[in-house]
This record gives sequence, structure tokens and C-alpha cells, in this order.
Amino acid sequence: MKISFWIHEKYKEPEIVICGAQKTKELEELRQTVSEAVDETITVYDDRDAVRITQGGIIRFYAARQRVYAQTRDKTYLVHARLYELEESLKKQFVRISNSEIVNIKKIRRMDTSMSGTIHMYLQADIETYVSRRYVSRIRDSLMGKEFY
Amino acid sequence: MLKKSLSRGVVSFALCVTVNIIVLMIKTVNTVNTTGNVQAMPELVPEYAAFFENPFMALMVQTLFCGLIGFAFGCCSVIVDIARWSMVKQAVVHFLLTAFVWVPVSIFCWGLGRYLISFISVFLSMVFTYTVVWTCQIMICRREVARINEQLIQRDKATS
Repeated sequence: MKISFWIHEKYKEPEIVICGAQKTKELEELRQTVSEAVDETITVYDDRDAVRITQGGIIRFYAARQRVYAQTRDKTYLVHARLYELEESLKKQFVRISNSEIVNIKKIRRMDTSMSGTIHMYLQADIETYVSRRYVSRIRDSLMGKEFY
Repeated sequence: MLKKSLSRGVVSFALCVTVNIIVLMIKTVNTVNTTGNVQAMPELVPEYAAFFENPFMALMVQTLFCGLIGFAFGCCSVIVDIARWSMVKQAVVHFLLTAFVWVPVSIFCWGLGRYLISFISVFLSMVFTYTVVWTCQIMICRREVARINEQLIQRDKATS
């Protein structure tokens, strides 16, 4: 199997492309292996079963009813960690938006403010949430790629 | 949130008491220099001073009341962190909760309610201050959100 680099300034982020004559099981396994190697995973809980999911698939972590949840496009999982612990351990792909929520930057679609000053954030999978104005500048810095923690 | 609120309140209390003592010291030195009386103390509202046996005790209690106002403002600062509340709601609740403390203290210590016009002017000046501060914050927020949306559009163009 040939492995080569394509370097061009148009690629703002590293991208891995698997080329083949047709999509086979072998190529699908290769995609899975590369995905697991690149994306860090996190242990979450689905009812009582422990599941490992890639961080890239998580849209947001939020605290509710004294528990922390991880929400993906399809499901919501329980996380056995505090939000501040997640904030310290997660990749810089995640940013805190309020005292009770951390979101995946790549899953942010847009933001807006209402007349009364409520700051809304619209995420993928039609998820809408609120942003605390203390964290607005942090969101801006993380999108611009500045390190803040 | 309660723990954060109380810790901020305690810090604000200490800060307000410290500042008040420093101001009292400056006023005392100024009064001594002005009157030449080494036992002179800053003036107190007579109706308030009448509650105490000596003016020093009245000044110390007034200092503690200033600390109480600081405690209220410190505690209420966590209202800003409630993301689901609009800025208008945050401002109104913050104003009402802090007024619940500073209005009675001001009436007791400095005779605020003695003249209706003074009460109205202080009240209106606080409302004006809140309006200006929160209006500026909404404008700043909107500008930041617009910049964030520009970044998101550029990111989407680059990845598409």
C-alpha cells in the first residue's frame, strides 16, 4: 500500500483520504483504524454499559440534575467526570460556553443574540443552547486558534 | 453556584470594609488638620449617631454595613453566569436583589429617605448606571457574536 503526502496551502486542516477502486470491507476497517488512531476516545455510559466513543463525534457535554452528559448526533450518554475535569482533559477542539456546558467547536453552526440580550448557540443535530457572556471571547479565541488553556 | 456566590460575597465584604476604613482614616486626618482638634472624627448623620453611645461605635457599625452592601453585590455577581437569562433579566434581578440591601442601609446610615427628591435622584442614578452598563455589554456581545459568525462562515468555506 502506498502512503504519500499531498502538501498544499488550501488544506487548512490535515486531511486523510483513502483511495481505492471500490469501497471494500478492508478499506472500511482501514478507515475505522485510522479514525481511532487520530480521534481520541472517551468512556461514557449508555444505561449501564460502558462505551468508548470518539471525541470528534461528541457535540457537547452538559451538566443537568447533578450529572454530566455527552450528547452525540444520535444519543446522549452519561459521563462519570465533572465538567472541570473534562475541560482539563479534552482536546482544544472543545470550548466552555457556560458554567454547565462544553461544546465541540467543529459542531457550532452559528450564534445570535436576542433583543433582550440572550446569547443563543446553534449546534449540529438541531441542538440549541445558551452561552454565558463571560465565555464569548473564549469562543472567539478558540475559533481563531488561540490557546487559552 | 451557591458556594461561588458566598465566596465572592466574602471577598467583596472584606474589600468594602478595607476601603471604608481607609476612607475613614483619610477623612479623620483631614478633619483633624482642618479643625485642629486631634479628637475630631468624621461627621455622622445625627439620627444615625443617636442610636449609639459613642461616635466610634457608630463609625464601626457603618463600616460593617458598607461591607454588607459589598457582600450583596459580590453574591449577586453570579447572576451574570446564568446563561439562560437574558441580560435584561440579569440586570433587573441584580438591581432588585442589591437594592434590597443598599436601600435600607442607606436609609439607616445616611438618612436617604429623609427627602423624597434625594431618594428619587439616587434611585434614578442607579437605574441610569445599570442601563448604560448593560447596554454597553449587549453592544459588545453583539459585536463579538458577529465576529464569531464570520469565523464560522470562513471555516465552513474552507472545509467545503
